[in-house]
Amino acid sequence: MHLSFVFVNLLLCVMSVSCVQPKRIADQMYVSFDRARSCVRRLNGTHEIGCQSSTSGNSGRMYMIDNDQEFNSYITDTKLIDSYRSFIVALNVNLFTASYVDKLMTSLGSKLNGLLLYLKSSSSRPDYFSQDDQSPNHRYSYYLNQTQVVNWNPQGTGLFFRSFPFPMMFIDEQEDYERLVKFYRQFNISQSTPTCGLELNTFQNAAHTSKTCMRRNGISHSFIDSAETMCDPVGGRNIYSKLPQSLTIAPKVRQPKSVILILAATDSFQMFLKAKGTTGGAQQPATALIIFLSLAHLIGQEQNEFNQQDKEIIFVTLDGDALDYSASFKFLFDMKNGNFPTGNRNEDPIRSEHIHSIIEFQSLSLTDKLSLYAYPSALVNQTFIDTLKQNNPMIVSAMPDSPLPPASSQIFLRETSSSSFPAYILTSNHENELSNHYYHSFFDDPSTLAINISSLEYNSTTEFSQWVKRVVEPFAQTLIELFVGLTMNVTIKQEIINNLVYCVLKNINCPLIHNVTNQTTGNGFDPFNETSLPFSINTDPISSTVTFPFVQNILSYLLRDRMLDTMNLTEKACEQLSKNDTFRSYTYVGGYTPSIMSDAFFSGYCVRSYSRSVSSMSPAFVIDNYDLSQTTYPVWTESRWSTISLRLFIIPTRKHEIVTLVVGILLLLTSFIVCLILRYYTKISLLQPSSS
Amino acid sequence: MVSLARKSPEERLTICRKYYLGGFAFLPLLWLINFIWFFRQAFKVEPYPQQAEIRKYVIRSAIGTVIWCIIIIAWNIIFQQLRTRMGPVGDYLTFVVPRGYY
Repeated sequence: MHLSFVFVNLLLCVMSVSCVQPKRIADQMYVSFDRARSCVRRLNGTHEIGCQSSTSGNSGRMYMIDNDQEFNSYITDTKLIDSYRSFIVALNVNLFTASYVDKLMTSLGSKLNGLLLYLKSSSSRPDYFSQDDQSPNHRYSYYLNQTQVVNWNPQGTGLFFRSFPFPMMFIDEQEDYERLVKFYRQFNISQSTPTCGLELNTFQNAAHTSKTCMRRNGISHSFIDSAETMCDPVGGRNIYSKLPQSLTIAPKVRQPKSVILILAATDSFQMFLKAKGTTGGAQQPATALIIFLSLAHLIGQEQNEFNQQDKEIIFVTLDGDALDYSASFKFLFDMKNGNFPTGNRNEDPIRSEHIHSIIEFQSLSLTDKLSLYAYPSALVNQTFIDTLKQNNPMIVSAMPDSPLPPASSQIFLRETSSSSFPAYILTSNHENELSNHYYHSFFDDPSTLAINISSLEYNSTTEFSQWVKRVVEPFAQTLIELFVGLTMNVTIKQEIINNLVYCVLKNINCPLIHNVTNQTTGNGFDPFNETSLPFSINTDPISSTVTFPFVQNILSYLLRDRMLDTMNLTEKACEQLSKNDTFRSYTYVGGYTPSIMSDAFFSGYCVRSYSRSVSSMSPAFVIDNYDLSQTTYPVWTESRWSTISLRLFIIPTRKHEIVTLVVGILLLLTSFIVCLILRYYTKISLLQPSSS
Repeated sequence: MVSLARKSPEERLTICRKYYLGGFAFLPLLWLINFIWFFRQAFKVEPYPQQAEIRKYVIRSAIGTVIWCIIIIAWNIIFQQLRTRMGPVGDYLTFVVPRGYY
């Protein structure tokens, strides 16, 4: 009785001590870096690209390499390399090129267990950082075959498309770098002191090729387990919109060469991404998207002129072209099957013979000169080019039939054998080199457009937004001259461009989107407050990509039927209108004042618009019984993963490890002896040998 | 625990025969148990009338066990080596589909 009382007291004391410190001892051993970016696994029809770690993470002794000298001394230090089983190399981002990575992989072999890149500070970012190929979107056969291969991205390392057997992560926050360096310097004195170790966990579910992975997606053994998804097909939404008055409804028949398509992209990729981080994409595709939306506003503004013509201008955004033009293939696939436009069957489908020309905005940067590419020269309207150059002296036209830059138009031409319509591409490059130093990387942020993002306000006029105005107005003017026949000056309010720049590059939860969406059921953009429009690889099923509702709502609003701006309608009246119309959409919104031309302002407006959003997954995933190893269409998929973590810990010296082991064994023996003694020499009933 | 010493010889024969016949229902372990359990009865104990039949069953159980062992080991090796080369069949036969590697 007395002894059990003692035991209970002891138990309570131990519990109270352990409960005071809520952290587990295991957690106190590690220092976590939660804001690190990581490289993930993606697959296509024949290869896997990206990085993979083991299930419980890859760990190793950390070794920091800051410059070329340290790199060379590390590679040649065979004594150091032999003394540890595995290394995680922390590499300065300036050394992240194919040659350094290859040298590291050959000299360390399987001892290289991971790569951690670091950026010392935001001002020390490298001048060029692009992991795409030197000739982007040219690695596989999905491009327009023009015999000359041009290196549009000469500083591209091509590392994005290689497969690494170890994880790679990137620390881009200055505080994280300083913490890392502090620990490294503290512990990395010599061989006899404890050293830093890193553990990178980026375990990816997918493996081998898209075909294998998609097959494994659905395997489940009924009640024993449930199917686990390993990978998702790459694809988002292709959105298209036009002036709602221009419809070709049966029995009216569409005229040949009566449709003009204006294209822009809504996606990009980056080798290193993180859950709540910037995705880059400022120069491509944000700049093109902002110009695209501003042009839509101008077309919408001058809709009275355009509606009298029998030509339609359709604005199309494509999502998924960064990887082998999957979205363009899907768009043309839909067109071939009579599914463009989707919706009411009474609207005459558009086929390649109905297309007059396509105009694309691609890879634009804040440059003094813009290049205009046109192909094929046999179908190109030279008047259009001349008028464009006359209206905007910034535009320089490329030589006829010169090789096109990486652009969705390549696929539009390829799939129609370059014989149906011409393509015009407006891009920023200089002597066949894209002006974008950070092509397809997360460093492609607004600072490359001379925008100070921290001080950017909703209505700030920046050099960039003024540049956009100087590009868009002459362009709209040219379109009007050519398709309506009128020479008129069109202007767009600077405020509208400023607002678009703010919303796209800084905060999508901005007043503009509130004014053009129906807010009665709540604001769908609240969860994305203070985030910029994400430009990364989207997968299907789309989880929470806010890009598509954002683009679709703004685009359809800017092209709306402006006659309804003059009518004071209630939400009920708007619903009534929508009941009789199956071609167009009706929403009741607060109204975006800068784009409203009439003098009367109401509390709410009924918006009549035309827009469609279709899946932009490659046709390979849509066609029945399509063998995913065929190369007719690209088949990119992205792996799924659960946790991504980066942790730092201390590797003790050999002596320390041995002492720990010996103490542990002694403790084990002691506890056995203590138990034996208690069993035979005391009367505690718990410990007595059982009698039964 | 069933102790064979306490059973009559006829009962021992019945048990042995039941185990032998039961093993044909794709139960090689029954044959293995039969072999191990009745080995002493079949070969080490002084002869009694039913011992000849018990011996017959024990030997056949042993042969059956060996055949099954060969089949199982062969299939194990084939599956492990050719799982990735069998195409879709390999994946559908896999009970726990591997994550992260082919």
